[in-house]
Amino acid sequence: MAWRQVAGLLLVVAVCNIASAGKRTLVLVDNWSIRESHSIFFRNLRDAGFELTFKTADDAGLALIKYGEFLYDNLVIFSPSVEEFGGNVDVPAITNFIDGGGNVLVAASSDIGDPLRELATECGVEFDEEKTAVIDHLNYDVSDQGKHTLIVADPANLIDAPMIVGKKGKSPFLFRGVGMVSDPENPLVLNILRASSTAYSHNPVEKIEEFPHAVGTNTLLIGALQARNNARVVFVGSLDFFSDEFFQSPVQNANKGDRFPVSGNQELALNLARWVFHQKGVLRVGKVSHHLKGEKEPGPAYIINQDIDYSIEIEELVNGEWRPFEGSDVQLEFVRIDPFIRTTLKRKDGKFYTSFTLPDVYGVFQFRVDYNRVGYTHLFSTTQVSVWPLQHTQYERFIPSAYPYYASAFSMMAGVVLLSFVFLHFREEPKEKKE
Amino acid sequence: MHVSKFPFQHTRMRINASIMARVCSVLVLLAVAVVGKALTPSTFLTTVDKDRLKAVFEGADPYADVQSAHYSILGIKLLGGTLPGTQDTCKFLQSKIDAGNIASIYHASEASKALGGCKFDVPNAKKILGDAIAPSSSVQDIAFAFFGLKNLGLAVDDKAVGSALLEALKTDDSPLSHGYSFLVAAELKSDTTKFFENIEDVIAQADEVDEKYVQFEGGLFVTALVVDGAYKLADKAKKAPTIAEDKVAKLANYFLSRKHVHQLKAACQFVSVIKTLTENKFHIPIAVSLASSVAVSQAEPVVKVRVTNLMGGDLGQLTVTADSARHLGDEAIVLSKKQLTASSADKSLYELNLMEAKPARGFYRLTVSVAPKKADSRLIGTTGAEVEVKVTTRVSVENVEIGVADRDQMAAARTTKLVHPNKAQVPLEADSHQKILMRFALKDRLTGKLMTAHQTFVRLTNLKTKQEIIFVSEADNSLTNKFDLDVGASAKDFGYQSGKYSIELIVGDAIIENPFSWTLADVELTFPEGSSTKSEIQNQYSKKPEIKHLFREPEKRPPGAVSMTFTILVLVPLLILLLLWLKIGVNVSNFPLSISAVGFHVCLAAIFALYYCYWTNLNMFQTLRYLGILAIPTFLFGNRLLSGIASKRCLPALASTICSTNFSTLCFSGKLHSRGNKTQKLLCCCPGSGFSLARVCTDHIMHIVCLSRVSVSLVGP
Repeated sequence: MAWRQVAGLLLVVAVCNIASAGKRTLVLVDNWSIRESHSIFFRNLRDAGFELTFKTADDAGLALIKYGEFLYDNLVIFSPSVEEFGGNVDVPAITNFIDGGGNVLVAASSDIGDPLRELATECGVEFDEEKTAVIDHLNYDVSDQGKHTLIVADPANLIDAPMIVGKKGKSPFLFRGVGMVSDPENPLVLNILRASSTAYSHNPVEKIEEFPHAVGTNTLLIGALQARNNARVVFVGSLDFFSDEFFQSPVQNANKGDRFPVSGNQELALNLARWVFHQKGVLRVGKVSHHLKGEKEPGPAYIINQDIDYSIEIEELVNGEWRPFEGSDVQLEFVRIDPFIRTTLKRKDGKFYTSFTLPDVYGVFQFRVDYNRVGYTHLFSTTQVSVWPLQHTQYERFIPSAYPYYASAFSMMAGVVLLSFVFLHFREEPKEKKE
Repeated sequence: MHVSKFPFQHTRMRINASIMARVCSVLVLLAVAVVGKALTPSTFLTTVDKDRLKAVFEGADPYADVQSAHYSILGIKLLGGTLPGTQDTCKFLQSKIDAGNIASIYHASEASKALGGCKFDVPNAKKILGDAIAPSSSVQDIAFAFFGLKNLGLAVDDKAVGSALLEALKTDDSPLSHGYSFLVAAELKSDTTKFFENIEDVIAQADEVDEKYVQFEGGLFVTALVVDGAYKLADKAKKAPTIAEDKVAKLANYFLSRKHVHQLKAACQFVSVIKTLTENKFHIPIAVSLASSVAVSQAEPVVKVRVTNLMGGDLGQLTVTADSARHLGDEAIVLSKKQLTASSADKSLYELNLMEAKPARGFYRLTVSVAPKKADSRLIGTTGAEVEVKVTTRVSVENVEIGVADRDQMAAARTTKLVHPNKAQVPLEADSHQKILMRFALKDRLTGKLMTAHQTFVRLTNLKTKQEIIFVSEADNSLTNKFDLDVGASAKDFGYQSGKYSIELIVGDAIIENPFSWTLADVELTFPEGSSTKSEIQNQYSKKPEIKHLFREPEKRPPGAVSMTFTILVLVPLLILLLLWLKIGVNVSNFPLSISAVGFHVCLAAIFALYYCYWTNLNMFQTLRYLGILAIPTFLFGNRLLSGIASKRCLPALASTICSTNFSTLCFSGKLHSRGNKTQKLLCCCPGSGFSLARVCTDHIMHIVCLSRVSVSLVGP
């Protein structure tokens, strides 16, 4: 009986694994109190369907990978001050996790430790030193403790990507923590939320001797990276950004009047979390089909200048279901080393289609849909086809200007037929008779 | 969800904690007063917090289950809110109760008790709950059963409960179990000294965080439960629980740090423990909080301190003294032993005019001690409470000059004087051989002296691209800021983008009341040409430009009329031939009506017809196949026909007319007949082979030979 139970258990575990794909989330915290002080955020995550596993960052049994398989799909690092991760986790392990497609949400604070700084550097974001904070003497909240480090971030400084940050609300965000700068050479880094131009990042109690790490709008409060494998990483400079306190606090810029009853933190935090953990902005390719116009199936190859139809199905993950994608700017490229044709696809019932005439150049081509938009996973689909030159019979046969040649050839043939007949069977009139 | 435990860490902490507990009792009072951090809570449960918690409790309605109903109703009751409709809730409880489940009965009964006026019977409750009170049950079950029985008005054997609890605690001595055991013991009529003695041990298990908080593993609920239970038990035992005062303060700090709690169960227990900590007879932590703004200035010189219990209630008449006010930078003490005056409007408010002490600008830490007018030993945290304030000042910017000078010229440049907040009328112009000069000084309006600020940045913003470049301006020894911008050297910072920029001065500091960002002037910067070749990288996320393939243009063709004309022209000779033949008349009566003759001509015509088809629709391979098929009959017919013609012509013509020379031999039908005696060797046409070489006397035969060749070659493909 025992083995049966074990088998049953395994089956259950297996089923659970399938059901929980993309949902297994490890939360690393500095101490347990974060679970309580950030309970709304974690509850929101649970409501969104994530299975949270809490561990302290220095837990000796930490592991992201076991028997070559990742134990989690997502990682939340809410342990800014960690100096060394426990168990088998370290920065290479986390970057490996990202390389393996895992998503990471990192919240830092002014107590940022080296591992997080290193991890950020790996991802194209550079945190300022420990003990520094983003300071903005012109945009701080009224409840600031005096150092002007509880800054009010204007939603206008948010990246223009509704897929990541949701609909732009009016409520500003409360932020208290460390600043970052993004690597300008790294095209994959997204500057989600910038500080205002009067902000800077420095130790609030030390005099500014050197040029600060980040000044003005270069100061990044929230940065994100979508790696080439679509793994997403979000860095937030403030752990308090996710706290119940900030979620529920009213916001008022001490230097400009408007008071907002509640900060925009919760909405943004949840949107960010859902984005970073692949609950939205995920696209996939369905059926790709192409054929000659008016036909159903593609032949072995196309011939230059033929008219063809192309269609691709694209689906978007919405609330856990795959729905037809509703973008209007999906482009198709017809590529032989360089694109020969680039055209925007028309959409109908989640199917994107177009028809076009093949170029008059033969070779091995690809239908390429390379859809890369802020907030969406990189969608890349190629289908290879060969395009042949015209066969000898397919050239034009009846060229009007060549009719003289055709006519002369055939008149000659007719002449030969006639002449040979006449010549062979010609009977000369017997001249002798006349004579 | 799964939470792993940390036995290793736990034991370590516990050892630490127990050692500390012993040492602490002796050292703590000294430590707090002299070295330790301020442990007096600096916050309390404000009206906003209470409203928020109330909203949490009220938000649970409609309830998911009896447990949430219990905590929600109890929470609202503790906060003094309006309870939900008794009847409906009572009905809900009755309908949701699971008569076989101890916890369910407990929660339902607690909820109905909190609700008041809601009575219901649970069948078998007495048996189920009574059975649960046994040493083998868990502490929680015993506690639930005990309270369930009590709430339902059923008899309980207190002694049995007590002994069962003690037994159960032996197997599970977690803080959670102890917490429940305290709560039960507080209600027991029998002897509870053993439970009371447990308090010290249990509290010793708590972990200390940041030397400021004390909490149990398991978080807010467990900590609150233990402390709540301990004080309720102490109330019953009429003895102060053995919890060191600093620990109470730290516990209070911990609870208040969790006041944003959102979880129903923990929130309810949180409110309960805060209430206990304000109402018990032994320890009442006080909260000293800043009621005014952190900033103290000439305009608002009064520091307001609120002294309350944790719920925000006032503590009667107090003497509040500011022991010292210490500047956080240079440790200067500007004030000592100054009594705060009680506010007339609010009994818990105490005021101090800090500016009377003429403090320099900066951050100050006020150490406040509290003494009740009527001695009250219950108050905890009466000394060493700290409140941080900052003395701010207004700043003005003086002697502002801005101008442009040549880079290598040391001569004084022509500068414009500016007055805040005006902007220079005339835009400046500077090229890469020049530099922009700026001079300004910051003046403390309070003291009239020059000062520096944490942030003195100069920001240049490209008016077109909105790109901004920020420079830090530093003050020299005379506290004058000199900002020189070498346009040529900093061209890289600007990305070689010539154009109009605005110059802005940003001054800010935590102790400056009026930070500002002042647009001084516009400047037209010109950078060396050609260096700005950095092409704009196309945004990888945007839609790419469409590409249309440019098809090769077809060659130009002559108009149809021309080609038609020539087509006709080309056909004309054939027509002429036919016409002429019609006119002259062609005698083809030599045509032998044989299969070979008809076949040959038909086949020949068919070959040409095939060529026509080749043009119109066939491909080369089809054509070759058909041609191959046609070639055979053509060849055979042609051979027959020609040899027939040749032989016909050879016989009469050669014999009679053509060969005037002495022919003695004639070839005919492949047979060589020899006539006459002496014969010359002759080569004759050999119709059988089609074409033999012959040396023929006349051209005529030559002709035939040629013709046959032609015909043969025609037959060929």
